[in-house]
Amino acid sequence: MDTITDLPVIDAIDTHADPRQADPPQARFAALLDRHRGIVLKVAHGYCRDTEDRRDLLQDISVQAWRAFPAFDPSRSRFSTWLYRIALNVAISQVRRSQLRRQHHASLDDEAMASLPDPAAHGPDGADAGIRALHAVIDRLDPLNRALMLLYLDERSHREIAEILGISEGNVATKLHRLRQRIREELDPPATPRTP
Amino acid sequence: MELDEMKSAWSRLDAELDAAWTRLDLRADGIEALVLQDRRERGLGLGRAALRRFGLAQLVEMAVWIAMVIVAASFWYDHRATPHLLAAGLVLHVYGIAAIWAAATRALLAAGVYYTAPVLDIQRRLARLRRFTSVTTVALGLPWWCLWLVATMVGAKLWMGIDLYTAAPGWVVSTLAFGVVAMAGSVWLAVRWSRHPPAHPWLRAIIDDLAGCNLRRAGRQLDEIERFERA
Repeated sequence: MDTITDLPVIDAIDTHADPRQADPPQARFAALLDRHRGIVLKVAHGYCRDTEDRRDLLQDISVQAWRAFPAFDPSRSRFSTWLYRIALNVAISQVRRSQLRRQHHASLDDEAMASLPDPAAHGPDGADAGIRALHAVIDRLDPLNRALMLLYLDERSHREIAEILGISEGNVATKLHRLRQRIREELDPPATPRTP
Repeated sequence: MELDEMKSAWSRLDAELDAAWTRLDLRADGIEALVLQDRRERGLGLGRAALRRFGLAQLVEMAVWIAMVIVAASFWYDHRATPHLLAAGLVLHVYGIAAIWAAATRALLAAGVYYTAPVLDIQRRLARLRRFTSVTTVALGLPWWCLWLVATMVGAKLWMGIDLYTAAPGWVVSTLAFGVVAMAGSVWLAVRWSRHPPAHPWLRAIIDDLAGCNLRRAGRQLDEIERFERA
C-alpha cells in the first residue's frame, strides 16, 4: 500500500521514466493513476461529502486527466503536481456548481451538508472522531484555502504547493502560517475572561 | 485537536481510502470511466468538453453575426438618404459588432482553460468567463425587446420592399416604447423571482443573469481569488 510519505519517491521514479515507452498510453496512464490514487481519492474526499457526488468527482478527475495525458511532459513537471492541478481544478469547479445548485434547491445549507455522516469517517471499529473533526475543519474553509490545507496535510513541499496553486513559495509560507494560526484558534479558542 | 493530530487523522484517512480503493477496485472503475467517456461528456457541466462546445458555439455565433453585419452595412449604405432606415441599419450594424466582440472574447477565455494549469490561473479565468458571459448575456439579450422590431423593419424593406415605418409609424413607435418598458419590467421581475426561482434550469439561468445574481457570484469568486493571492 502506498503511504503519503512514499509518494515523493514514486514521483522521483516517474520523473525519470520515459512516457513514450512501449506500453500503450492507456496502460501507462492506468498504472500512473493507480500509483497516485491517493491524490485523487483525498481531493475528492476533501471536496465532496456526498457519496454519489464524490464518485462523480472521482470519475471526472480520471476523465480529465486521461484527456490531458497525451500532453503530459515529465521533464516539465512531476506527475503528482500535474495530477494535483487537474484534481483540484476539477474539484473546485464542481464545488462551485454544486454550491449554485444548493443555493437554488436546497433545503440543505452548507452546515447541514457538513453535518451529514461521512462513510469514510467510520472505520471498521466505529466512528473515528479525529477524522470527523478534521472534516469539520476542512469544510469550514473556502475552496482555495481547502486546496492549500489538503496539500499541507499531504506534506507537500512549499515549492510543489506553489507550482500547483500558482503562487510564490513565500506566499505559500505566509498563507500556511496564517492557516495554521486560524485553525489553532478555531480548535482551541482563547478563553474569554470570566465576569465575577 | 492539535495540528499534528490532524496530520495523523489525515494519514488514517489515507489508509482507509486506500483500503476502500483496493476493496472496490476503483482502478477498474477508472478505466471503465474512460470507456464511458463519450457518454459522460454529454453530462459534464462545465468540464473541458462543455467548454469546448461553448467555444464552438461562440465561433458559430460570430460567423452568423459577421454575415448580419455585412447585410446591415450594405442596407444602411443603400438607404442612407432615409433617416429611419439608416438608423435601423446602423443599430443592427453596431449591435452585430458588439455581438462579434462578445463571442470572440468568450471563445478566447474558454480556449485558455486547461485544467493542467495552476489552480489560481484556471479559477481566475473561469470566474472571468462567468462574469463576462453574465454581463454580455444581459447587455446583448435585453435589447431584443426592441431589436426584433428593428430587424423586422430591415428584413421587410430588404426582402419584401415594405417600409414598415412609413406604413404604420404609430405602431412602430408604440412597439418600440413597449420594448423599452418591457426591458425595465424584465429586470424588475427577475429581481423579484430571483428570491424564489423556478425549478427549470434554463429559466433559472435567465433570471439569475437578469437579476445580476450570476454577476455578483462571479465577482465574489474573483474577490476570493484576489484575497487568496495577497500574501
